[in-house]
Amino acid sequence: MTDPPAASRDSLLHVEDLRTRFHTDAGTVTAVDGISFDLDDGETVCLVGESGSGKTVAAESLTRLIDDPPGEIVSGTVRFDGRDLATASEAELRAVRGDRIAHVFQNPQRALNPVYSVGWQLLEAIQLHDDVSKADARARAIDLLDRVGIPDPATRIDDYPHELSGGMQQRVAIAMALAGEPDLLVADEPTTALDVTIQSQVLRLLESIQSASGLGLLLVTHDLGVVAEVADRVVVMYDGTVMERGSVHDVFERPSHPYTRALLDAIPGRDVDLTPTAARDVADRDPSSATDSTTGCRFRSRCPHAVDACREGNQPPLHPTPDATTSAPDGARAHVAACVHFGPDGDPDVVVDSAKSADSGSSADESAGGDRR
Amino acid sequence: MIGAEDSPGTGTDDSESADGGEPPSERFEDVDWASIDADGGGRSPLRLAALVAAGSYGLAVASDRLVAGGDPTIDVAFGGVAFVWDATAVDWLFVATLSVLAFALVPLARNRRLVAYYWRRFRRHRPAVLSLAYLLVIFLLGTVGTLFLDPPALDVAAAYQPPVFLSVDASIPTECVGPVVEGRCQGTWRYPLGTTADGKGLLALAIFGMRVSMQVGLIATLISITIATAVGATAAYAGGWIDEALMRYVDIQQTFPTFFLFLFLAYLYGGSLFVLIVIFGVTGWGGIARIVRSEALQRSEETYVAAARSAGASGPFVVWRHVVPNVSNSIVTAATLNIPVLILSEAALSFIGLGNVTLPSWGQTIAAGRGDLATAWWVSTVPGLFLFATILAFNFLGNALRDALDPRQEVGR
Amino acid sequence: MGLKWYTARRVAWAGVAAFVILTVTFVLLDYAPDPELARIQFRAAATGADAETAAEAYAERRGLTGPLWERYLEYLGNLATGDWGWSDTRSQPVLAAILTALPYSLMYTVPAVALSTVLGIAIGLYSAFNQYTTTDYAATFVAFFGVSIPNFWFGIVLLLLFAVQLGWVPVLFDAELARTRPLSLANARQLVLPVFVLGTSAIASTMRYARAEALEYVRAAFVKAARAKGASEWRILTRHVLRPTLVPLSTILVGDLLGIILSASYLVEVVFGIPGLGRLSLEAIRRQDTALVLGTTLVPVLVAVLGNLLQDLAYALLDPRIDYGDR
Repeated sequence: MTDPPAASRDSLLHVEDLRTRFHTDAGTVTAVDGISFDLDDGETVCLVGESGSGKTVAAESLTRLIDDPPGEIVSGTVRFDGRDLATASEAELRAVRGDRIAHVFQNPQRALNPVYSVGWQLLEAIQLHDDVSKADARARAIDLLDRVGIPDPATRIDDYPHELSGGMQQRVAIAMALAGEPDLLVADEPTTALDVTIQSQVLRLLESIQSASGLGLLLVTHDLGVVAEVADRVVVMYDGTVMERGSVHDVFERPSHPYTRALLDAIPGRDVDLTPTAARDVADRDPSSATDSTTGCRFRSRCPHAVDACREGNQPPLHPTPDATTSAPDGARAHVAACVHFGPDGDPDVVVDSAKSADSGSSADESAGGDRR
Repeated sequence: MIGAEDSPGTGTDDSESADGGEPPSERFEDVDWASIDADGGGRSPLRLAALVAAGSYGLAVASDRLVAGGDPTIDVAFGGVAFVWDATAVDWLFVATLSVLAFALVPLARNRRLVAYYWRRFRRHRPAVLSLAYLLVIFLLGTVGTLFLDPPALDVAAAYQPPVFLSVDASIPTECVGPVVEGRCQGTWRYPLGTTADGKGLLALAIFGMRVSMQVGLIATLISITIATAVGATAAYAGGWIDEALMRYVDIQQTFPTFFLFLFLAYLYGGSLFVLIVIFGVTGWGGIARIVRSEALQRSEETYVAAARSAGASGPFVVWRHVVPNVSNSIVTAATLNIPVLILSEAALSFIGLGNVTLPSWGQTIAAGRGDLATAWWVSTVPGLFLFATILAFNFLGNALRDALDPRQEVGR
Repeated sequence: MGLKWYTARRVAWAGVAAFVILTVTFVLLDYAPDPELARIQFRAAATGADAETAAEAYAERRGLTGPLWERYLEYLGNLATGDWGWSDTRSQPVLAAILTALPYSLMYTVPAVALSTVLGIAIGLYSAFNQYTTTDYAATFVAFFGVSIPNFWFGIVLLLLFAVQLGWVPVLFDAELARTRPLSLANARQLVLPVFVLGTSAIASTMRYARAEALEYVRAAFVKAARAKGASEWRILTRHVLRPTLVPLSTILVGDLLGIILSASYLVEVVFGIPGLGRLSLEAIRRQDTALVLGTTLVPVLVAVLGNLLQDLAYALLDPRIDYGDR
């Protein structure tokens, strides 16, 4: 999308080893088990993964929106603007929420309070962080609605959420998010619940807002097509951990982790949608059983390249991929994959070289393993 | 193990591992009635048994009403134990109710896995399990126990005896059955819960009161759910103006505050237990009908109904065979929660004196003891405790059943 | 459609319901055996007079002649003009008897309803927000307790404890005191227990429903969204959860509450000896004063109809989503 800025020492958002657990009747579930990534001003980072990968929980853990109980953030740091949000006080969090970090949710119909007008909710977003008069706030609200492309905002401001279409509701939600002029916008599957035709409109909107205000965008999605369109960098999640991380070019052109590779190959033609059905094609080899992934690599039961080393210890740490030296050298921005084959004792060729049969439509450079060692 | 995308543990996902086991692929609602009934094409053992039972019941009622006249229905003695039962109209209704219940439970007994599954979920509510035990005891005492015990008898000499372990100032009872210690009359095991102003044992009154409550609760509820199911299912299935008309009627019936309806009708037609039960049954079905209708509406949308119809099944057949069994979970829950309301209403009506004053209803006993609160406080307290415990038990039971059988029904949750 | 049209339809329906109830009541009463008549016939037979003539004379006197519908219309007309019949046992017009008893009933029902509604909703909401905490369990327990306890028995037990044993409140209700000095402390003292007993039944129900409804919203996406905007928990509770909760709550609440109040107050008045509508009705039944029975039964019924109507209207006003088309 936009050219990634030079790697800076202090990124806007620095997440390190975040762990979030839920206590349920069936036991404790670790939805997010140690993820780390960075995000800079003006950058778009996509958290990609299938359903159940923990990406929504991760996004909501940033500003501690997780329902607590039954959820809790166990460990890790979420460094934002010099503060660790994971351990900040409620008051500090409230100051950050909306004002510095804003959230857009997946289902706009449900994210808007049905008994209040759009205007009421916008005014709330504005007045929570800004001491302005009602008249001024209203003027700003109308302006915001205009910015997000709502026609005739002066009238629509008094509409109720159910009177708007899905696409318009999401625009309103985005307007609410922008009300506090945040530095970071976290959007959780903002287009999934919308019609296909509206999806690209909303994406365009997000892009234009970002280029206009230079805010950072953390986009959670399962749609690889969206990622390809808007992302600067990608964080691939599976079962609560990061499997692969890197710039969008690196990850898409030289996918390293077997999981990423499988996803990108699942349906010929790269523009895949990581809906559960697609993922199940991948899983056909060996249906994953939840209990299997307690030790070793979580992906091992579905991985065609699994070896004994995969069963031991914990999830393999993120190792630099073969092309890491050619892409950004900086640690946080390097192209990394959590796979033993990329570790010191492994041979990346095992993964990178594997010939995929009947790969009609996928580009030749993939299986040729352009950058093999 | 990773949960679903949204935060798990909200309590709404009640399937799979949360219950400690795989749910069977069928629930009570999915019980295939056709296969149960259809062995031999309509003449299955169950059907046969039902017919025989119904036949003998009819004969028994007829003989009692027409032939026996004033004589007790059963009058036997086994080696010293006299067994006399003069069946009243209510008793006949009660027998019918119990029989229907028994027949309704048969398919449940056949499907062990299902019962085990429900039991596992039910067992998590400990108060409910205790309640079930308590209610079973009450039920047995009330139905079987009363057949063998003597009804509470007037005995002025034994008036105002305190319960065992307690004592009361000796001036209060006319005669003290137990020893008098330091001017206080001690309670005895002869009357473990004390006696009333008439010398009737409170324990006996409590047990016979159980019978009254059981009869009211069970019979009236059965009547109610029968009507409610018929109306609700029909309304849902027929739709259109039939639905509209039925629901409007339910509206009006429900607008009339139930208690006043009872009061008014009791005033008009007398407060005999039979009349009371009929009134409760015939006027209290509105809420259940609504539940049945809404459940049935949801089911009507499902494919198997359309399939049945396209196969040529007639309207009532589809309703009876396909829609009704599938709303049974809601019915069971609603029925269980209906019973305590009825018991309470009966107690209230008896308390005000509108019921049959000769009946040993709990409400009646409480009312009787009101004048002696300062002196013989146990007369009002004891039956009240039983009443409270019974209603509480039914409420616990009903709540737990709702969680186990039909979590959808609860408002919210 | 629109609000006005919806209101009109609801009012019309309330009218229909009231009308139907009135008709049914009237017809039932007409067909029920009249104990007064039976007595007169018996007396006539006993004294050797002609029972038949006595019956006719009685009917004449009581205005029971003429076809049913004629009498019914006359009755309706009378109702409208304020003639609700004559109470034989109290020797006063039915309406007058009702109006005398009304203030006593209001004296304890109004505070009970107000308190229980406010407290019930507050506790219910709090419970929903803080699920599984000790407060929540305690509140749920109280709710169960309140719903299950037979209120007449509860009243008796409390009287036993606080009046007989402890003497903190009077054992007997002083109607004179209530009439002359309704706002005095002494009157408040004698009203504490009735208000408490009535309130307990009502609050339990309200609390349970409020909690159940609020639970729907506590985990709702828009609550999370409000939190993401930086709203405080208090604001979320009072502005975001309360309003949507009130909507379905009001539908259940009014009907339910009315039912509880009307029936419970009956029992409460008997237990505590308050000369309100409930007691009046009961006396009428005991002494078979038909006109008074009719009057005192109609009042709560009509109140119920009105209550339901208000509830429907409130629902429409509170929830902008509902379609005023069909119910």
